[in-house]
Amino acid sequence: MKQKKINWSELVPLALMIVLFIVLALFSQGKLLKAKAIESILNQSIGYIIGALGMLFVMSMGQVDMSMGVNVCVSATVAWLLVGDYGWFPMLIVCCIVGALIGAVNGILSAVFDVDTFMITIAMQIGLRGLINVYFQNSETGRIVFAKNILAFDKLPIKLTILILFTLLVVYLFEFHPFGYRCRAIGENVVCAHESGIDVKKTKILAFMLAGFFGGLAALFLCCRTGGMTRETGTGFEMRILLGMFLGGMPVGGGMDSRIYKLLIGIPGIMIILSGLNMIKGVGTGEFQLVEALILLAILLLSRVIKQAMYNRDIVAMAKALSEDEKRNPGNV
Amino acid sequence: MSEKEILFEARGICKSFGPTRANQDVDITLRAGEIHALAGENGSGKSTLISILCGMQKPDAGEMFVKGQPYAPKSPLDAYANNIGFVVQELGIINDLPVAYNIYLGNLERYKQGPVLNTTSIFRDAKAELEKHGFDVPVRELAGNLPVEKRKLTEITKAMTVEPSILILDETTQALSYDTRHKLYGIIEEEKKKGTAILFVTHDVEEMCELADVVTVLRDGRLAADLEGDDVNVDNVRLKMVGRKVEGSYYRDDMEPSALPEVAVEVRDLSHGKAFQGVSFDVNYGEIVGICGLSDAGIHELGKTICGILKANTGTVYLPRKNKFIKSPKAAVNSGMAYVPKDRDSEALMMGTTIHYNELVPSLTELANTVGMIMPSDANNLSDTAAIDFNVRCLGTNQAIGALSGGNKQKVSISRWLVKQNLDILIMDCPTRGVDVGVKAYIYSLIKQLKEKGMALILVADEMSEAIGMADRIVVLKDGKLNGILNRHPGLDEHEVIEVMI
Repeated sequence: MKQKKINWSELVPLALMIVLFIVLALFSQGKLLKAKAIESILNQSIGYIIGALGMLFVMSMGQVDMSMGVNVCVSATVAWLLVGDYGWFPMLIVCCIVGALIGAVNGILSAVFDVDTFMITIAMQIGLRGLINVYFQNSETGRIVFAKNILAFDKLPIKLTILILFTLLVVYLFEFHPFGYRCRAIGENVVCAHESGIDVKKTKILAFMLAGFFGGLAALFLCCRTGGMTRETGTGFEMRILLGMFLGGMPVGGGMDSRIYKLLIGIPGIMIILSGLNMIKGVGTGEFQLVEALILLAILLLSRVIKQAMYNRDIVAMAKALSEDEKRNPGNV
Repeated sequence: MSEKEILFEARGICKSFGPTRANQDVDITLRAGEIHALAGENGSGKSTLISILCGMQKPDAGEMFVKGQPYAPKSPLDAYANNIGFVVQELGIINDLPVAYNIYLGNLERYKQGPVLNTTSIFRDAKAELEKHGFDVPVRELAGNLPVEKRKLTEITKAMTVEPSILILDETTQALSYDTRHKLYGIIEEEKKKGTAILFVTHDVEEMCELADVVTVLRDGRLAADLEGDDVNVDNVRLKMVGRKVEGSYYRDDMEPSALPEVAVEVRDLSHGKAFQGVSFDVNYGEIVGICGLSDAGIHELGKTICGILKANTGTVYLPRKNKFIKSPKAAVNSGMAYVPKDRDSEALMMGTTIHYNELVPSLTELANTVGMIMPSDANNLSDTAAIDFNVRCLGTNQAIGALSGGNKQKVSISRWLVKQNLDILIMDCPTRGVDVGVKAYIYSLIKQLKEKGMALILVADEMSEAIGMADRIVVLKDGKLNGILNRHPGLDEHEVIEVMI
């Protein structure tokens, strides 16, 4: 019954990334391939992968959490204020709790009032960013600087351990547990999911809580890299995650094609591209963003075209098989 | 063939939707002063053909002529311009506009006074037009506030305003009550005398044979027969429609009701908004209960409310064996109740993905093992079993579901529930809608098997013949109220059901 066929649309992003990697490596005169550069890219990627692990659940439902970046800033600030004196571990826990709470509010608001989550999380983003601005304007230095006992977190073995543990957790929850299937089914067709007995509201709330939780978890990863927080911390975080996930081949509308491996390819991919651009002489912020946008457009268009081609191939094959079958035993339906 | 003037000709019309060939090389000729009926089972391509004639769809191949001139409509406006008036199956009405505007929509030019419309004369003309046909419809009312019958009358009036030389009516009589139906017959006869060519579709073969001079029969998208004169009789038309299959093997052979003694579903005083109110009945295990009614009677909403998809305003749905009240689809699914919706593509299936995932979704909880994981091998087993046991014609379960034909999609829509182990109550809304004859026979035999296995079945039926052919009891709704419950008995026919319906 099973018939394995290569789905080319899934390979487009990977191929595109390899091409970009080679181009960037050439343009940066090999700087991109140096051990130090690779370590720095890895270091940079971990926080974004953590965030993407949470975004995966909402994105598979065809939703998006636009408040993830501000979530990073809020949860780190709250955690620093509450338990900042006690070192990184208590901070990590409080960050996760604050993050999950923000996510829960997102989820509950959208489920109860049946409002589009994009709008809800945008409102959350604006509101929380406002609060953060108020806090930092009233603080003396306008920034928070981490003490040594917090910066002790910024070590590759600690960070990799946490990354691996939570990646495994998400593999379990998303790829194997019914919960992951439910999220993806909602992304495919929310009416069908509802009528098939899936509690859409509950699943939505849980998915947004997970997104918030991972946003909070990512906070320390990001803030330790810069040594603390300012009012700008986390800006653009969710956009980079989305870009990376699309780059990895994640379907924009969610659904069954959402897979964890796509973010594990896509996030390091976007980091390579961004760092590679940084290393090329003469590339400023403007060109930088232009390239980001062009990459996004290229991925979206290419995957779309190839997906349609794959679908047409299926239809043609089907029609052929049916007409042959009809010749062999007419009348069979 | 008669010598009357040919008003319309279509030659070699072909139209495919994906792998489904809705029309294959269909010819049809309409003559002045002739009533021409288009017959065929559901999914035989009647509506596709009509939508092509009206300019709502473009044919893949074939040509059309109006009074000898080539006719290739790009939109329904081209049909109007060629004096083709039509009433289509889906309501071609804009709910947020008053009746009068709907009547002259697409034809408002003549009411233009500079940049604005002369509304007074629109209302005046619409009123006169409706009165001319003896229809009682308020012209200032928004069309959406009217019952289906009045909306249909609005559409008929609209079709008449183009002063049609060709009048097309697609299943128009179905929505009309007995007396309005006869008013429509009057209009048809009058138009015939005027020399208009009339093409109409109806599921009521007796009605068809009484009115029509010529009958064109479609089967599986192909032309099956052109009948005229003495050949136009009920038996002959039925035979041509169904082809090699005989009516007897289609539905149940026994005409006595049967059921197990245990009650499966107790529906008590159930209401949902304006759709239906205070409906009570029981369904036993091993019993098929049909639900029938005219278009706005609330039958589809009743089916959806029973399984918790729509919220009940009053009343309860209770499953005695499980001691459970059903208030949400989740509760229904957990209690072994399933719902197969009428709207297959947008409700029943996830059209963007594969057969595999579609088969999986209702069974997610059962598939998880002790540590809560769904192993790929178990998932593959389930979807392969479903596709093989229920004879889904595909290249493999990894195939996109969108490439399947309507009938095979319907098999997926039903089988995804039947592979669940604890399922014993099944609600189906028009399960044979838009599937070809063979799959239709297959689905009926499946329903018979499920009844024998002791499953409780609720069959919401748009087509009376389906309920009469399959159900042990028929619950009849009228304007949202329970109007009677008919038991299966020898000689039960559509007239008996219609009497309770209207």
